[in-house]
Amino acid sequence: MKVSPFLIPIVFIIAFLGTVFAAQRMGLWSTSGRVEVAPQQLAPADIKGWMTLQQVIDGVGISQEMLYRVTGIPASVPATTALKDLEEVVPNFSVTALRTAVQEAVTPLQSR
Amino acid sequence: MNTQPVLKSLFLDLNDRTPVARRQRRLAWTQHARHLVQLAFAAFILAGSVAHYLAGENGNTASIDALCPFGGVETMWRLVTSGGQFVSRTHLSNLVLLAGLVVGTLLAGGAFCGWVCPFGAVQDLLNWLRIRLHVKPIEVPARLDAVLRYVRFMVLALVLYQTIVQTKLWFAEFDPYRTLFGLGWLFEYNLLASWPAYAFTLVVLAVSFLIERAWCRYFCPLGSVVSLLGRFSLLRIRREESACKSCQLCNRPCPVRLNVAESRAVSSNGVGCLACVESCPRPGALTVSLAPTWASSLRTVLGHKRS
Repeated sequence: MKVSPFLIPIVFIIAFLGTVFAAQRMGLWSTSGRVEVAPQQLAPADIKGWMTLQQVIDGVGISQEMLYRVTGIPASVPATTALKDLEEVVPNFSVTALRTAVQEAVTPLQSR
Repeated sequence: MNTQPVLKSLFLDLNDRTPVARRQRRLAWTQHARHLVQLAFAAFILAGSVAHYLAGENGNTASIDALCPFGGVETMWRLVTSGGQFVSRTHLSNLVLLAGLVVGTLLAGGAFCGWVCPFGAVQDLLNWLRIRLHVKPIEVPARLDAVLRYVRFMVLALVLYQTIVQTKLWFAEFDPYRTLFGLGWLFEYNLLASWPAYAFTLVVLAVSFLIERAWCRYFCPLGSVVSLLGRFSLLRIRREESACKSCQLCNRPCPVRLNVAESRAVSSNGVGCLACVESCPRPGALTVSLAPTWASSLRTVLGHKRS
């Protein structure tokens, strides 16, 4: 069946934007993973790149000294630094490695 | 106000009623409409990037990483294998945009590249600039062009592999779209840290200035996803061989240099710009039809089986 050529852009834009609006209406649209970090309620596996070092310290319940030590972060790095920005400051830093290091550090504390 | 001089400058002499002039007017209007839509999307992304930087670290505005459907492609593997975790800097919005892209492309083919993608708009702008400056374009020989078109599938494979291995947005460090529209070069210029991205972007822009839509044709990983999905699209531009005189007029304005004049249906590498349809002088030779090419192939197979 032959149709108007203009259906190509019209159908595409309606489908594309329609999906976005439908997702927004259903509450499925999120451009950030940021949530409130409750003290001592954060599991190491749930640490995100947008979190600051201070939020990890408070959320996991680990001391700043221990966090810096197990993750190899220099003491000069302020605790207000977001984890995603540490990749440029600390060699070979990754959020995945930090999660593992924090998990290993807190497991003995939790088992006591 | 007399608008004739302005319209004439746009090849739109409304008094000229010859078929050629009418065709040129149709083509010009379609392409102006397309550029306006492209500009609207590009302006939206740029405004979002400015708002993101002005809001600062604690702001609630989306970063450019969250507003790209390719982020959905990049995070998919991790999402499935880790039971719901996203690659850093990607969010639900990436998946929603990817879903919109998939639905839109399955319905209408590669219109995302021609009507929505801001980096496609930049390349069209570069092409306009090249014409204005009377710089001769580089026409890639057909055989080399056919080979180079596979490079973007290799780029897609490399990006996905590196993203899976490194569990971060590896391509973000080079992505020319992100470099240009993310506005890091304006708000947090850092030549030492970002020189690979700046250099790569400049090379891509220079190549796209000399070869029309070079990034889309040969390197864009999202374009390769669109091309694969476009093979199954419901709306397709078809060439009716009995009505076509193979005058090649449809090939001339194609921004991605498809050989429309010798195909049964316009390739899924097309960007949905409609330039070929609007430049065709033969009524019924190039039309948009509602049946996908796979449906006609299926009908042919079934027809052969029945007979």
